[in-house]
Amino acid sequence: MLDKTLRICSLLFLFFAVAFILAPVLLVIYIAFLPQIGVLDPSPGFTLEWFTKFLSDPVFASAVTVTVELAIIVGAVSISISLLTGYVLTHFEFRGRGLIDSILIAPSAVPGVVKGMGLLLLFSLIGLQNSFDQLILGQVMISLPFGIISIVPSYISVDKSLERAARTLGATELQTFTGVVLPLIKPGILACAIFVISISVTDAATTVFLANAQTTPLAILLLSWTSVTPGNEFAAISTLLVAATVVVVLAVEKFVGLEKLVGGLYQ
Amino acid sequence: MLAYSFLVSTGPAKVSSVLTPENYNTVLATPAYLTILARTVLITAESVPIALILSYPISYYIVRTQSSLARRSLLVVVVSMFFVSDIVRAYTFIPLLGRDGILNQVLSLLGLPHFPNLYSSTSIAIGISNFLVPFAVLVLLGSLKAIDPNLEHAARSLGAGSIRTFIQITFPLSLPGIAYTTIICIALSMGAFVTPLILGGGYILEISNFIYTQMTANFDYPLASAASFLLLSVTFILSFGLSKYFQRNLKEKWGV
Repeated sequence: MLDKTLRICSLLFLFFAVAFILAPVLLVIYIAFLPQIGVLDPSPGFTLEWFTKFLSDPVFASAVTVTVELAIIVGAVSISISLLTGYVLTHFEFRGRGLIDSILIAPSAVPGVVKGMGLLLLFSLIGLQNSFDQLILGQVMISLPFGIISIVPSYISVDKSLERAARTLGATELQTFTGVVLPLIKPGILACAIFVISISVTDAATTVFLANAQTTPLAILLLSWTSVTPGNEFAAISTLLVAATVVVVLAVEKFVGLEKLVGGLYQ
Repeated sequence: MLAYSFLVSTGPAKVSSVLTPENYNTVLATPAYLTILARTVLITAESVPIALILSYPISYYIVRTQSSLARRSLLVVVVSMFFVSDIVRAYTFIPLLGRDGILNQVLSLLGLPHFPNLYSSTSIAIGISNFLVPFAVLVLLGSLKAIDPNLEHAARSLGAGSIRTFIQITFPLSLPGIAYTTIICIALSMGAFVTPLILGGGYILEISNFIYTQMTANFDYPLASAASFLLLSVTFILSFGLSKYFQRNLKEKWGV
């Protein structure tokens, strides 16, 4: 009897915890389809008007373009560097490795605003003026630690004797890498790509220092829109972003499994 | 990376070319600035425990449930929220906590007093704990997974009830994970920028917002650098102190 009550209580608490992270988002999705601003007394019926409104806004379109361009470039650069760094970190023993490890981990504990400020000072010091270049460099710097952290576990999980076997059979180091290691670390590369690209798309705290009026990524546009756009329109944008995220997450769950993806976080 | 951390730490000297502690004095001697720093620490002290209490059952359920469907759907929810932009996550609380928001409607239906003000430290703390939960769940997941379920089975078969098993076996074994999660959450919460910006409405600043304003509106680079360095030090002291405290106490009290 006591056991049963306890079980029900803990399930209720679990439900509350899930509701706490989910309910606000669901509410905003609901608001996105309401024809008027107030939630208090919504006139009946649903509308897609808010979606067409921001989708036809040229400012929104150009912000999306900037974000996509950034994500592609930052993604390509960060993933390549993470691949190489991960390989070096897991295949060679050298002096100062511990130092490199801590240099890689430390920035993830540094607040985004501090990184943004440091980067802005650094760029003004070296005279890098173009905002888009600043964004690329800055985002590569902030996303790299996470990219490397997410790719290293899959390098470690590769059985070293497979690589030795390939080498013994006459493969060069490069052939071993492309033919043996690369196919085995695919989940790690995917995790790395997802982390790097999601940082590039959603980061605001660091990015806000590097963007300007001409080069405004989506996250920064949204930050300035939170206070000026009508509630329903912002809710519609949020709905679209949440939907996109859920689609990606479901796809990953279906093809790779989420546990593999998030495994890198706590190893 | 090294270059900019170096740059930040020597920031105050960069503009004036003379090293001076004046900026630190300014920050530490101005009550308004100290309030901001204290508020940041206070909000962290509120939101981190809330986030931990809420994420523990989610992680525990994901690790222990027999149903693959339940586990996978919970993971999808948590991971999706993990990746959804913090701007969206913070914004979702505006229609919830606002003056005519859902919460106030429910409260007035029940005849209870209204939630006072959307733009307040309370809102920021709620928003930040909401933001922290997915992180905490994913980090806790690792440490809970590492606990051998056979230990729990053994306790149960030796006659311990489920509460006793949890308090004496599962919880102590997950303490190192909780400690690690706490430290990560503190770092995330101390540096939060977007949530206080949106839910503070521009009036209630946290230290990140202060730094941003000093940098971009007042162009006071040295003051902003000093504030950044203070933020870094406070965060570091909190996490380092806590990890030392955890290390000592975990060994003494629980032997883990």
